[in-house]
Amino acid sequence: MAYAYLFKYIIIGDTGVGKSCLLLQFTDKRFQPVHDLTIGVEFGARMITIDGKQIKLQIWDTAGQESFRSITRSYYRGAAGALLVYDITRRDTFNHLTTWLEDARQHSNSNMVIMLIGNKSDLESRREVKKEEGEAFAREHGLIFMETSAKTASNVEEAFINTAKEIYEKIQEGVFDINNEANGIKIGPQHAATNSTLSGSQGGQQAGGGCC
Amino acid sequence: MAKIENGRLSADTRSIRTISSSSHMDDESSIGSDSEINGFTSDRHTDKYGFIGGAQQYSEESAQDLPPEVLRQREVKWLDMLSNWDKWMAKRHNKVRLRCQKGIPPSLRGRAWLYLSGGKVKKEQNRGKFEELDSQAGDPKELDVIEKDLHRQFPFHEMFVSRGGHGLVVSHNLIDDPHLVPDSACLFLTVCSVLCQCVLRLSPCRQQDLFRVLKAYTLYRPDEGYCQAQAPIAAVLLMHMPAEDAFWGLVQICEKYLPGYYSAGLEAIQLDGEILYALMRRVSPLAYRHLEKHKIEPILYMTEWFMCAFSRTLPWASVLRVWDMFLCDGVKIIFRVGMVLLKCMLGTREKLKACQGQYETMELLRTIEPRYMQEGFLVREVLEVPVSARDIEREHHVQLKRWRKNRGDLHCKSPPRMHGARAIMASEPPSRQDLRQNPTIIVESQLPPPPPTPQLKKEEKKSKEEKSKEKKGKKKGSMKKTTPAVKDIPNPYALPVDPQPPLTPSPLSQPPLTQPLLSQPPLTQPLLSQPPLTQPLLSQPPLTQPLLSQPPLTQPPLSQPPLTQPPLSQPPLTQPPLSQPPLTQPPLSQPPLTQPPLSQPPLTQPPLSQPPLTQPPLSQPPLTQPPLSQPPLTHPPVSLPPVPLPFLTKPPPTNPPLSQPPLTVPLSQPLLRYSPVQHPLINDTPLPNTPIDCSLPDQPALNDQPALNDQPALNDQPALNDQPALNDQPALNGQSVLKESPLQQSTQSLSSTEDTYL
Repeated sequence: MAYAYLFKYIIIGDTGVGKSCLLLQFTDKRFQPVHDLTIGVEFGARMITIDGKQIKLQIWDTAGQESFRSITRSYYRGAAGALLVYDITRRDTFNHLTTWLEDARQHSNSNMVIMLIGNKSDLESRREVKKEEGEAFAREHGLIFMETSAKTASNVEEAFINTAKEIYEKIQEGVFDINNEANGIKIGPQHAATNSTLSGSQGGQQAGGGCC
Repeated sequence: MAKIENGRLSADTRSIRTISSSSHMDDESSIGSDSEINGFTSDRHTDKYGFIGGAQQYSEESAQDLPPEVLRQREVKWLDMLSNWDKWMAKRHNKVRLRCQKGIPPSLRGRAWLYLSGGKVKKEQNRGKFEELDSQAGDPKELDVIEKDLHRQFPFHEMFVSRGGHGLVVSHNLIDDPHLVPDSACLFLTVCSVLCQCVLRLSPCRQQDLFRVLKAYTLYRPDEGYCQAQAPIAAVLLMHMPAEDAFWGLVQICEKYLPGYYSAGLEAIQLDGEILYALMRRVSPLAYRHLEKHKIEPILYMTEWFMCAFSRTLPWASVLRVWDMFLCDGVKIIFRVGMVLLKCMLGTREKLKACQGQYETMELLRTIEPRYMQEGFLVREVLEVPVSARDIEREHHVQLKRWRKNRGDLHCKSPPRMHGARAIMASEPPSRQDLRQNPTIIVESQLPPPPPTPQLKKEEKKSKEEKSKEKKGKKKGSMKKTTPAVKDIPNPYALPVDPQPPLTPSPLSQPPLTQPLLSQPPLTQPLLSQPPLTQPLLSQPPLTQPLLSQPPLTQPPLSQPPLTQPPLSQPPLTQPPLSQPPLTQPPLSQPPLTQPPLSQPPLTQPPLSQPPLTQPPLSQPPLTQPPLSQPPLTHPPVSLPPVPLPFLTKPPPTNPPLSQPPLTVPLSQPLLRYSPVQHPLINDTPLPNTPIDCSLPDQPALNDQPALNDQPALNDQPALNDQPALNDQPALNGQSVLKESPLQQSTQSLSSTEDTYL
């Protein structure tokens, strides 16, 4: 399917925080608690529309275990956006954010948009990390922040789409060199290089999406 | 908009999610939302490998079905090999390899894997080690991660569906499986293989075993700890063997076959990625250039392939065949499979046109066309890839140099890689004792021959039960009893039985059962919860009893002579039953019934006393049964005792043997004897008939031995002992050449290619 832009995302974070479930919820709109453990990398893709333009999101879902860290680094290359995920019911996953962030900054291009995600917001009763803490961390490191639930789908669309908007804005501002694929952006065949303004409308409704 | 209903169907065609199971489980996507993991299993079809709802790409096309006769011949051959493993490995290794390439019979796969990998030897040389590790606490952090992963290993395989869950559903499916309907003399074998699978499948709580095995490994190698990619490896092993065996199999794979793969930093896997990539230049220059052009690093596509030995990539039938070869020949098989897939998917300009770009290529490699992964096709292709262990070692050396130049020394010093079963055996020479097939049951004191009448009654009951077809599992158990003669397979799994006090009532058979039961507490509970099961369990005891009856068989060298006397002994076992009224028509139900009853009589009594006590044990029995069921198979003799009665003359002899000291003798011996017996029967026809193996017989004579002799002398030792890098290669080459040359002569295309490249 023709698209104007293609953005590469990467999802990172500790094992078991729900990275694969977020991806599945976003691409398939379903929650599947039973799934294979991610070893190496998995992929997903979906079309979204921003400012009337078709944008293909190509999402790389990585293994979270520490021992995979060394190879996860090779997945950063060419990513335009990253979802850094922790589990609000497990403080240790929040505590590890700093090292994840260091890795991400070190191995990706400096313009990569990073969205911090506190997942499993449906498990309020088991919450160990306050929302304010997530917000503070994001502020401190210049990230976008959201709490999501892959199970209920809460904020999942927004997380992916807001990241795309941010990237799109950077393109409009000329921050990204879209001719360099190393930036994680590819111009598609359908690209009409004219429009410049973002429509604030919910970029949400995806092409081909059967959503409503 | 923020909240979208869970189960809403997605019409988004963009999704290319390719998690191995998910793509085949679309219709179940909504099931998972809130239901428990195991909530959907009961009404889902389970394929013959135990996967639910078509997971792991099962289809009729993906797997080849062998005629039962062929399967049986192979089983006999494998039984013989396993009984004389050191000799086969030393003198006829080429044949062992060829048989691995043809596929190990399912009923013997677990045992064969354990022998090939050296796990058997390791286990024997470290008696009590697993128990020791199993009893230790473990690092809470590691355990936490392991715990979280348990439900994420083959989540659609019945054994791992839910922690503490039960797998009885499986037995139903097994029985319903048309492939399992015996229609000939293969009844026994068929039943045996079914029983083997049943035993493991029946054991609930394989997730618990997975936990134990992984935890034990972290204690065994605290420096290495737990790597998530080890879990699928352990799970595959657990599908074929009990926890202790699986643990040693895992140890061997992690230390000998894929050293360093699961160590911190994952340097070994990255290095192998570079090796794979470099070797692709030779195998498919087109694919190589494409990967180069789009900067697709090997680590992007081969991590899961290699770390999980393709267990999450291929259709299950292919996974098993690949593992058969992998455990025999080592990592080169993994490389070759990877190269075949790359070549097939990226090897033509036409295909490359469709995937211009890194991501498109990655998509393609995540959705490999089923025809390329089909068992027959894949194995053929793999055998033709011109890459030998030597090539891999050579390239390893080159890449290691490069790595050091660019990235410095490796942080993890892994032991040298062993290229296959032979190298492993040479590096850790086993004693005969190590290779001995463990007696499933040790008979120290046998109860007096059970009164016939009770048995008869039980038989009648069983027959009724069968008619009612209420519980297939039990029936299977009965079948197993009859089949024992044919298959020794189960025995390997059976743990050495320590006579337990409670056992006394049902002496021999139960003890073994109890142990497994103990280890799998969760299992027993489920069993308890399932009233129906317990009954079957009750019925099963009789099965176990067969074991009891077996010992006599084995012991009675006296009785055996008659058996060996070719026709006489065998006929009784296999044919006789068949010829008998019960066998022929309702072959399945009757044979089992009749024999079991016989064996049971003694059992029956014990069961009666036990019922109250045993119930937990009862539930367990299913688990242990594997062992139990197997022994019976191997011990066909067991069945004989009962048979004798019908048969007239023999029965009497069998009984006496029971009382005789021979009982103490380990089953292994009996097994050995049996195998020979079987051979006569099978061998006579098999060799000539079976085209498959035919090539082998011819070669062995001349080629194999020369090859063997040559190698052992100089090459083997140096290769094994020496450092992996350089020295090994030359050694390997020499060996491979020698070994293979015979194969080539065999004339089979496969062997020929193998020769040149191995």
